[in-house]
Amino acid sequence: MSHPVVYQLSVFIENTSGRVSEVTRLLGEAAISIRGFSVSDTADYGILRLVVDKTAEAMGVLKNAGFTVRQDDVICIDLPDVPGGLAGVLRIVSDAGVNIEYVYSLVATYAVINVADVDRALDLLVDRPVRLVDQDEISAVDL
Amino acid sequence: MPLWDAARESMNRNELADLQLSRLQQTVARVYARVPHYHDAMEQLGILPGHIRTLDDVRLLPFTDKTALRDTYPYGMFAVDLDQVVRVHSSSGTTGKPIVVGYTHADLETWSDLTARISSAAGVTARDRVQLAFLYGMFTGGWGMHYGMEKIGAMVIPAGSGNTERQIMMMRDFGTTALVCTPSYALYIAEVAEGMGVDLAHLPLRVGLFGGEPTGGKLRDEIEARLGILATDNYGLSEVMGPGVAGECEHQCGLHMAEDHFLFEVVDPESGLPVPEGTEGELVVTTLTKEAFPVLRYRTHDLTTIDTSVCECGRTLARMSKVRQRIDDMLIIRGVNVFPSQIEDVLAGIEGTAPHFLMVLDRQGAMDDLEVRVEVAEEIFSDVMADMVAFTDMVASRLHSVLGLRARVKLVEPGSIERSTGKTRRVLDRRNL
Repeated sequence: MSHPVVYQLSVFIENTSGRVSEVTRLLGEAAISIRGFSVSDTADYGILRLVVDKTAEAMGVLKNAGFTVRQDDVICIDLPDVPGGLAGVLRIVSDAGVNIEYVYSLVATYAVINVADVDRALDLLVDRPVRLVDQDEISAVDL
Repeated sequence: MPLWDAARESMNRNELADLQLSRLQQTVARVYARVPHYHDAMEQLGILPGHIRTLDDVRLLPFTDKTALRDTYPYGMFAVDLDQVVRVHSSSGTTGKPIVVGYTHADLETWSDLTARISSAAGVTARDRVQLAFLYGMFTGGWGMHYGMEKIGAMVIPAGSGNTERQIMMMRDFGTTALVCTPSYALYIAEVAEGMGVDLAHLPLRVGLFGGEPTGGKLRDEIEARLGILATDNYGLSEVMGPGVAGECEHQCGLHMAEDHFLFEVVDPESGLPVPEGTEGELVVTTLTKEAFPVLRYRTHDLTTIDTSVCECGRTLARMSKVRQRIDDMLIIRGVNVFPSQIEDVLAGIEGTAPHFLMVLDRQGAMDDLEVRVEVAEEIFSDVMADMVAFTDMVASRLHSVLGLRARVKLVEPGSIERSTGKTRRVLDRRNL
């Protein structure tokens, strides 16, 4: 059974000035739209995570420019836009026994939740009161 | 400073040559009879012990290198029955397997005599209190110097390496007059002492015997200024004995070589042919009196020049210049021998990757600092930060267990490490030795 997933690109960013800027510049020039991003960093380097509208193209553009990029399937949820909305979703996810690696928000009410085992997590969430979103919906977002 | 063994150290050079020849002939006959490696190597060249009629005939013999010693691990190169071996030491080989060397009673006697000799040359006497801040354990450094100092009758303080604050307290409280360690450690001691508010220059400390790594001019000047001592350089390698192969006298004009126990050649590293005196070449050593572990024409990979003129001190034994360069890619980092290929092996062992890496060496004050930069290849890149950190931690911990060295591991972008068209440059050595 195919579950909805969203494609995430992770880019290795050395801690010299202008690297993140360079990534965003390249994507902008290729008319690729960023739907959400997150940066995790150490003293020496960072990992820039991106969700875009044209994933394959973005991968190509960045790799061509010499960046180390990988693509992963991640879970994307449409959050209820009320106080307690995020808390509710996170509680549902943890009650289902799913361990979260990291979370970050995208445009509008969308959020990425990454877990160690995506398939297993989706199996556990499919019957719960959360709305799972796929890449087509994210690519098509028009605010 | 009195000569430890005046008869030998100021021997007439013609008599020395005669002594060397007869010892060489005996050594060649012994190894031919007892060590399969040398027997086979000589047989392949059609050389018999009887062919060695002059000292120049040593060139008829094949060279020996580290590979041969490693491949015969552990006792394949020993020339005596093991029950005659009363000591073994080992040094690290390039890939996990160490080189094991052995000593009979007579070998230990010679060894202690030779380290007594270089210690005397540096001015150590029975009235000295010698702090041996040198590695003991399986290394030849501490033990070799220990027995020689004891022979002289000096008071030996077997401090070993590390525990620097305690070392400094001992220097102050025990009245240490002589220090034996690596030159880097000497500077480190100076740094820690300054931090403790101890003025080493005002202690009874007056002479140092430094080995394990080269003590280049600037390094020596700094040690002498900060510790208030005469800094002498000494040279040795465990494959032929350990410390005591050569050492400086108080005039600091080259390291007097133990020519009565070793036959030295300086050759062109490419052709293997001897270079004229005063020209730099690779030092090749043949043991003349070793019983348990004799070695023929061992290629040290160290570059030096030789001077056979008589020294101001009266010694006729030739002097070698300080070794500043090697012909292979071996590095000495904090006194530890390191080959870049070992880093390569560690990285390959983790997930079978062969990422580009660069070893960046700096000197932080007195100590060498190693940073290993690894290009992030896709195979090792993870979206989860914890995995990346685990990767660098694993590399650092493996490096520590393989090399015995602490290194920083830094991930860098692919392509950021310079490529070359020729031999891959694995090392950026920014130390000013």
